[in-house]
This record gives sequence, structure tokens and C-alpha cells, in this order.
Amino acid sequence: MPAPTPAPAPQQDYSWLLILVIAYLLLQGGGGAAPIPDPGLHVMLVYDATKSRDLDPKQLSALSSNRVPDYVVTKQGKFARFDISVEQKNMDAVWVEAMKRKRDSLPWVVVSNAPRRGGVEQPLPKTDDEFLSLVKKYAE
Amino acid sequence: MSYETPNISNVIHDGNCMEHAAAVSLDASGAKRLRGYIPRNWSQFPQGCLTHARPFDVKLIPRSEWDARIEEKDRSESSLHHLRRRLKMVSLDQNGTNYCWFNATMNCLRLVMAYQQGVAPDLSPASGAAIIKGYSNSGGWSGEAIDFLASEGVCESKYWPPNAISRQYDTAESQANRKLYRVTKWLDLSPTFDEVATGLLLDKPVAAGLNWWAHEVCYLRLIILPASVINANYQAAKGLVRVWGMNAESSERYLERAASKYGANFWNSWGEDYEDQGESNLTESRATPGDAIAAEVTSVVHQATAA
Repeated sequence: MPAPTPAPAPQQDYSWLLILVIAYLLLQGGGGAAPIPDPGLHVMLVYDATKSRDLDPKQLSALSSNRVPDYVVTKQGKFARFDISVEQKNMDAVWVEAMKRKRDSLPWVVVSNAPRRGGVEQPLPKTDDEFLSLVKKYAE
Repeated sequence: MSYETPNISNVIHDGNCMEHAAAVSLDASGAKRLRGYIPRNWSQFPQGCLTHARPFDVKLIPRSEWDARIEEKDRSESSLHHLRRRLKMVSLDQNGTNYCWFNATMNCLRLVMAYQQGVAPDLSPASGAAIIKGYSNSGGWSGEAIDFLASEGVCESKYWPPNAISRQYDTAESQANRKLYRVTKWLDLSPTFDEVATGLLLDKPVAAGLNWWAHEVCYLRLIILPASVINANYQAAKGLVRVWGMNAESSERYLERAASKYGANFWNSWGEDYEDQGESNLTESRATPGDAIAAEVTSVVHQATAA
């Protein structure tokens, strides 16, 4: 007489966990984790003043944008635009930490909105409009 | 129709410059507006001699690109003029002092700080100029200002009233505060309009000493003048080269510059009631400086201080 087959162990249902993870990622804005842990919208632009001559005029408008900092202020966020050689002696800790992060090129932008909207680190967009759209994506 | 910078109403040109200088020599209260620019002695202070400024080393932007770049900056409102207006930065008023050279140079510092962090601290020009001049109310040029602005800096007006020429304000507190407001990167320009224009198109504020006005101002942006102004400037220049008795070669060079459609929008240090909220405009022939410097990078203001 064959040995009785043991009854299969009841399967644990982890789908609720998967749903939670997806919901969390969606709340993060669909982007990566916020590169600046401090809460709220932070936008930092890093550039090399000695190389601004090499930029396309439209990207130069993005670098010198007035509309983006204006928008950040309306969202009670913080905006900074630093030359790569800037003294960090009196700089807020939040920017000092952000300046330490890896950059692949210049000009470079860090957009961060912890804890819920996530953020991005990438080369500066090619136009002022694109820069504003990028910031809006993580602000709203 | 070719592009013209919009809303350019006041332009100082060869035909009206002396009239303008006389008309604005008194402020609204009837007080004399002082200037104080002493032309740079180029043989004593050649380009590159300044400890804290490197000679202008940016590849010039050719004139063929200027129109498109000016139009793009106007369209995107990304010039220093727009920055200043956005942040409602108040014009300095050198009232009673001969410190135009320091006010103009310190405006460069203010603009770069605003560019970097969107802050506009209320700073005191006298906290630098008075010390440089040994507490005398004397003229100078930007080279004197930038060495001090790089090494010592200026303090906030709450520690030293903006135009107070008095040792009593040189306290431990004002000295400590001064270290917070410095320019760390300067460029020393040769006195050509093309270097000025390149600096402005790259959003580097330029302090420019004007020999004809014995005055120094801060340039905010490159502009394209209305056709009527270009014509008036050229007609007046034709008369001037005759009066000056210039030789043919010099006349030709001057008239070429007088026919230019470009100009500079500047920020004066005569308060908000000067022309358009403290700003006016110069044709290329009037804007070509006796000497000029540009600011690139400043110290950083702590957020708590900035607030």
C-alpha cells in the first residue's frame, strides 16, 4: 500500500506585499529614490563657469534659468546653482552632501523631493522648458 | 524685420551723452550725484596684474552669433537684468560718496550671489571702499575693489551703513560678517566691447569704468538697439570725429563702432529713481569701457543667513 502523499503545505499569499511595493513606488513619482534625504523639493545645479562658453545658447538659458528657481520658490522648495569650484565653507549641509554625489558630466542637475516624490540626477536638460518640466515632474 | 531688444526706452548715445550727464547730475532732492571713477593706469596695471583676477581667457563669441543669443536670452528671460528684476534687487545709492567704482564692482558680487542662491543680502559698499581709501571720500577703479572683495569682502548694512565713511564701524562684528561676502573668481577684461559682450552673453556681470563719464557702472546684459537710436548715434558721431580732428583711420574705426546696433544695459548706483528702476542703456560707442572686470563665483550664504 503506497505511502500517503503528504498534503501540500498551504501557500502563503504575498500578493498584498507586492501591491504595497508597487503603491510605494507609484507614490515616489515613478522615479528613483530622492537623492537628497531632507524633506521637500530641492533643486541643485552644478556647472563649470569656465566652460559655459561651450554650451548651446538654449542650454545656457536652462543654466541661467529664472523660471525654474521661481517655480521652486512657489513650491516652498530650495534652489541652488553652484560652480564646481565654489567654496563650501559656509554652505548648508544639505548642499554640501549633495555636492559630494557622483556626477557623470557638467552641467549636472539634482532634483529631489523626499520622502514621497523621489528624484533624479542627470545632465542639465537642453532647454529652459525641459528643465522646468523635469522639476515639475518631481514637484507635483 | 531684424530683432530689437524690447522695452528699451532710455539710451545714452553720442548725441545725448553730455546732455544726459548734466540732466542727471542732481537727484530728485536736488543733491549732487557723485561719480568717482579714476581711469586705470594700464602701464602701471597691465591686464593680468591683479592678484585675484585672471586675465579674460574665454574664447570670444563672434558677432555673427550675438543676435540669436540676445534673442534667446530675452525670450527665456534668463539674463542678469531679468534676475535682478525677478528678485526685486534694490539699486544701490552711492549718495554723497565718490565710490561708484566700488558700488559697481560690489553689484557684480550681489548679482552672482543672487544667481547662485537667489539671495540678495543688503550689503554696505562703504565697508570696503572706506577702508581701501583710508577713510577718505576718494575715487578709484575696479581693480582696487576686487582685491578687497576677494580677500576681505563686505559686510551687511546693519553692521556698517552703506555710505558711512567712518572707522567706528570697523568692529570685530563687521569684520567677521565681511568674510561671508566675497567674490572668489574674477576675470580681468581688456577694454574691448567684444570681451564685455562675451562676458554678458555668458551671464557674467561686468563692472565697467567709463572714461567719458568719469563713472563706473555694472553691466547686466547685451542689447540690440532700436533703429532710431543707431541712426542718431551715427549722425552725432560724424559730427564728433570732425570736432575732435581725428585722422581718417581713427575716424573710420570710431564711426564703425558708432554704427553698431549693439549696446549694454547697465545698473547704476544712483538709487531706484535713476531712469528705469536704477538702470539705463548705452550704445556700443559709449559702452566701450576704459577698463572692465567680470565676476564669476562668490562665497556661499548659509540658508539661515539668507533668510
